[in-house]
Amino acid sequence: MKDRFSDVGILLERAKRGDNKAWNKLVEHFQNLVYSIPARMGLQTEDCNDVFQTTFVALYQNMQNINEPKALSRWLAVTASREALRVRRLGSKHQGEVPEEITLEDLLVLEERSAEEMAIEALESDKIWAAVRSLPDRCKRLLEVLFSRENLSYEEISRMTGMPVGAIGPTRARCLEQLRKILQKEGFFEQEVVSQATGGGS
Amino acid sequence: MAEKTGCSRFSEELVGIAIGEEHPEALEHLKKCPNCSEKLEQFKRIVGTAKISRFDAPEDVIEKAKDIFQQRTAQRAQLVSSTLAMEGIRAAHQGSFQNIYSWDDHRMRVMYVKTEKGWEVISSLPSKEWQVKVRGKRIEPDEALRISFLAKELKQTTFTLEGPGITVEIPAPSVENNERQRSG
Repeated sequence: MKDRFSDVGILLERAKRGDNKAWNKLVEHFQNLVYSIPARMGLQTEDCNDVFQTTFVALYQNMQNINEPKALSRWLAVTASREALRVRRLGSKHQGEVPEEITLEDLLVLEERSAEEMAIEALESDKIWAAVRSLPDRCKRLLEVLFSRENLSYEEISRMTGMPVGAIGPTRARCLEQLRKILQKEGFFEQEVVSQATGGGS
Repeated sequence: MAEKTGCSRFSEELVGIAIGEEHPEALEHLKKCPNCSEKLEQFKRIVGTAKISRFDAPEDVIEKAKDIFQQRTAQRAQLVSSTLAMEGIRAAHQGSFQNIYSWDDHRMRVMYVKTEKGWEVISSLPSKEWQVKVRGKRIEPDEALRISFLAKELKQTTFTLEGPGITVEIPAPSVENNERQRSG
């Protein structure tokens, strides 16, 4: 299977050399990863838009120093989460929303940890969805439905995917197994789970 | 169809459990099968993480982020000083002069020398990473990174510099440019 990071690596190198189209593709490739972080932190739309813009301006300014395509997604996630945290703090300051029962120092530590967790979760989610996109169409469609909606009956899944009810169970198992194998090959399960990984730097 | 045995008997149920279904017989198997238990944990991690909400950025926000590149890369160098500052561009037609342009932290001295064939433009690149193009054609620098090219008329002496992630246009000297510098 083609290494999906190779495409990102090529785009990054081209963008560094001034290729506008490569930059556009990088923005499209990572837009969901970057935008999901402030959105999941509960920022207002306008703030999410600002975090998104600031993150890509920072990427533009720093891309000459990013050499590993795998490091790029992490760099973006961490930058977006730190910027989102900064924006959220500014908002809290104006509204005086610091809880009284914990100290400001504790609050800052908790917030930073939560921002870091958010970045890692977003990265992991991004990896899973990238792997889903590499599956055959039938699997892709079924997993998209399964992952995007809660508690669907087999009849509903059948209606949404056009798959016979009797085929859903075996196909679902086969597709998830394929997905698991792809992720295993990429070392996904060798990484620490989110709750244990928050002490790590970028 | 051959009957499934051992762990393979429970492959569908493992996925079902990861999604939130109940399969008591498979749970019994899991108690004594570390391989299936590990697999279940991996399925759970996939399902749990994939269900995290994801948000696409609005189209106009994406377009704005794309524009960052063009806004920052396609710069036009500013004329900061010129030996013509006191005389005006019209005096240039008699001989040679030099302009100094700037962009970001860079400064570049450009000599314009009138010859029988037109105007010779002479300058030096900031470093080896930079390239010069005149009307789309690349000009090779010498070992000391000096570049030069000929243009029939002064207004044809515009050239571009391509550096790491940036393209800078060095505009041809014109009455407007040089007069602006003179008055500024």
